[in-house]
Amino acid sequence: MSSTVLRVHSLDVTVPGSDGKVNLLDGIDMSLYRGEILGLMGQSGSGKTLTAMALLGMVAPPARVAAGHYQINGTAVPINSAPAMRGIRGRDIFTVFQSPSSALNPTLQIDLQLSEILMHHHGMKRGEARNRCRDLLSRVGLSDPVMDAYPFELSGGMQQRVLIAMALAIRPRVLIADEPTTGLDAITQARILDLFGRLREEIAESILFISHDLRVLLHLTDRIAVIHAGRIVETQPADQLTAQATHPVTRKIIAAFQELEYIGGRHSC
Amino acid sequence: MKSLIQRRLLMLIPTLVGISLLGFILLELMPGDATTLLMRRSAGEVTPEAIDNLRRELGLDRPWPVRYLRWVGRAVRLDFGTSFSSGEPVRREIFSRLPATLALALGAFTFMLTVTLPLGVLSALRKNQWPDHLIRVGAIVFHSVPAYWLGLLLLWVFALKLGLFRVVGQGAWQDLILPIVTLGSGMAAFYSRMTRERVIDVLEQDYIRLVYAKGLSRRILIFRHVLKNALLPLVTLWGMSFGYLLGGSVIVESVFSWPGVGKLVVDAILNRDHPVIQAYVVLMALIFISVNLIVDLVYPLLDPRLRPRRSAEAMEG
Amino acid sequence: MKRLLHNRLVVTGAGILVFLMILVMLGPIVVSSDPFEMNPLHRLEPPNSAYPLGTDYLGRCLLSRLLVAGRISLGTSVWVSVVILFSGLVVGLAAGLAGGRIEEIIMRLVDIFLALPSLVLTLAVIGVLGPSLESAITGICISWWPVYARLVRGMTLTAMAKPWVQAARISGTRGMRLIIRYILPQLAPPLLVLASLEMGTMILVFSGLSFLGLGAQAPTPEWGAMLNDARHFMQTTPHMMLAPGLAIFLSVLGFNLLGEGLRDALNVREMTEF
Repeated sequence: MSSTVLRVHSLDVTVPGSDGKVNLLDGIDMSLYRGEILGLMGQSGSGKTLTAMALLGMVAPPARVAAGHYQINGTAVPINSAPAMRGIRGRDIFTVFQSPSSALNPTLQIDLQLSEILMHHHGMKRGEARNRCRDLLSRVGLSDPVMDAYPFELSGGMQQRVLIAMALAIRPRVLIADEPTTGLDAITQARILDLFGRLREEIAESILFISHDLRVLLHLTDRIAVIHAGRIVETQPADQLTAQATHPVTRKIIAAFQELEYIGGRHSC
Repeated sequence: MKSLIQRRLLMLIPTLVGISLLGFILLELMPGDATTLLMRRSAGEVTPEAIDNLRRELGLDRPWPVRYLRWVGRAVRLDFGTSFSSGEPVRREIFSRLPATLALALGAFTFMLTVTLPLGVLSALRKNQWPDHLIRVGAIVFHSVPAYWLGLLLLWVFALKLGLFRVVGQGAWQDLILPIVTLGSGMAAFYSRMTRERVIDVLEQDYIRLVYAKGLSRRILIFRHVLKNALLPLVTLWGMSFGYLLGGSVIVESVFSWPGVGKLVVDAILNRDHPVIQAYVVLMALIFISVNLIVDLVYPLLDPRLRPRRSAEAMEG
Repeated sequence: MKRLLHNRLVVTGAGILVFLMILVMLGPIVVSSDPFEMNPLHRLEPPNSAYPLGTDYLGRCLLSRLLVAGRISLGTSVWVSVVILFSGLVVGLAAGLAGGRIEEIIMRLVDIFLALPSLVLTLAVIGVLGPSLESAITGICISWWPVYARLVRGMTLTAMAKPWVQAARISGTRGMRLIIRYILPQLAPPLLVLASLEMGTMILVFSGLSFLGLGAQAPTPEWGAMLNDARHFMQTTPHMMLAPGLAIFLSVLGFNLLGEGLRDALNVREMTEF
């Protein structure tokens, strides 16, 4: 049984430009192993979110996936086929966004937004799904009244926990968490990260954690891949990143964070 | 919720006063008052004494605030006097025709909804592809066609040439079809555009991306997630469009000889029949206000965000 | 400006309008027949060499009537739109800028007007004044300006909320200077779009009223009135219905296309309702 949950290589995403096609993603190469949290770090515009969208099959036109070999759990997935990609979404691969307040349908109750996953993918009936919802919500520390509530009645942290509950409901092979703590206050951020840490096995077989914040990644992830200008420039184990990083961009990012923080003291070089 | 109702009703008062004043003024501005009435009704002699008597009888010699209050008193009982042309009580003239106009308005509204919702959604889903362009062009064209011309053309083709409908409406439901299509088309053109924009707006939202990420079918996406969010803001517009329908029915009724209040008021204007005109104005205003009031009160029921919210602390586990 | 010219809608719409304007301005001079001259011998003729569009029930040349009517239909509608938009602009601006009690009072007044469907109020005015071209114009003006007052006030509030406007106000800019340099430039694009669309609507309303016999009176030629004449002869001479209706349609289409094109080119986002 292979321990590689996701493998993608030579992933190209292009967009038509005035002089021909422009590569937004250029030969992306990445593997995710079972049980691990892989961090994807990069500055704004480096292509982090676009990579996530490509893996989900949700690249928005006019950008398109020009090439790429994609395997989930050893099985090849035709990355350009819309039906095939829809088939793996919500089942083998799922995502949790930044800005949870906009990720939930404002006019639909939480219960239904969670249950519909169970009803669609697991064929559950309404009542059964509702009960399962209750369980899932309590796993993330949310109580009964939340089920019938609307998103606007919950705080940012609670909304994010609802999204994590969705991941629990699916337990995909790969969960892509795209900056899930950006935009939350420090205390809530810590709580959510804690939740990720505790539930990591139940949430998904493997997690791709995208962030621009090195501190969060060092705290949570097993390996870190650095992306810059549409390419993966370096991949290192998290606890050795500061020591072993070779690529200039990585070093620049580390330096920037060291100026802000105490990293130098915590991880001896 | 209750306070909302109370506030809304309170805000109505100045409007109602304004409308009553308008109705009253309409009557007052009639050139010649009781004399016109007398001349039309009596076969006998029109003497200065007779005129004076009638004036006293109708209270026309009192100061205007008194006359206004008397008018309001009568209006509340829906007594708008007697029609000059027919001699019948205005109330009967109008109320006998009101159902026909309401049927037309409601029919046109339903027609509009059944046309614009699918077209608007289709247009948004196939944004910038050929169905979208076709629908948008169609919308501009139908928005530019005068309703009366469309009505006449439809009449000519379907009634005269193809003999499918009667030329002069008798009030049967088949006679409603062409008028409904005529009245509804202009509105449909406008709303298919609006619907398209609302749906496009919603489709760009983050929560729709999450629905995609959940791998749900497109059907669920549209019906459960998109429609409600897209159409909710349109509900208030629909209410206001009812006013357009009430006004537009005047023209359509004329084209198809549909026996509604629109036709009645046009004749009344041509015949200088002021009691009818005044009653029409007041009643249409009241209907319009009621519709909008209902929409305003129903809207919070539809949009959960406007309902009283529970505190976040109550949610915490 | 360049973007304006490249926008297909704008070009098409403006093109149609210019074409119509030329027709209407020069047409009556070029066409020899007198629109009021009646030829009882030539009643209800189909298009022929003497009368390119045929004649109406009184033997009048339809083409010349159509062209002269254009001046009235188009001219009146444009003029009325300008009046409505201008008064709406003034009131809306005043309300938005004044704020407080004044704004409330003004908007209350506007709301009372808006409680009536516009056409109904127009009918009321025509009812009082008696059917005629002037009363139709008066009626339309009185009924439609509140819609724009409300829209403009909304736009004014949005414009004033912009950070740079607030900054200007804090540093002492007020009154006419504030309006001219800060508010009006923001209002101009949506108002232009509205103006164009509104002129289209006004043509429909004004001809509609004339169609009902409540606007332009015989023998004044007007497109809506001509349609009304034509409908009585639908069975025998249906061709009479074509030209006036087509004229109205093309004019409104022109304005609508122009308005939509402007909306695209000027990137106007606000919802412009009826």
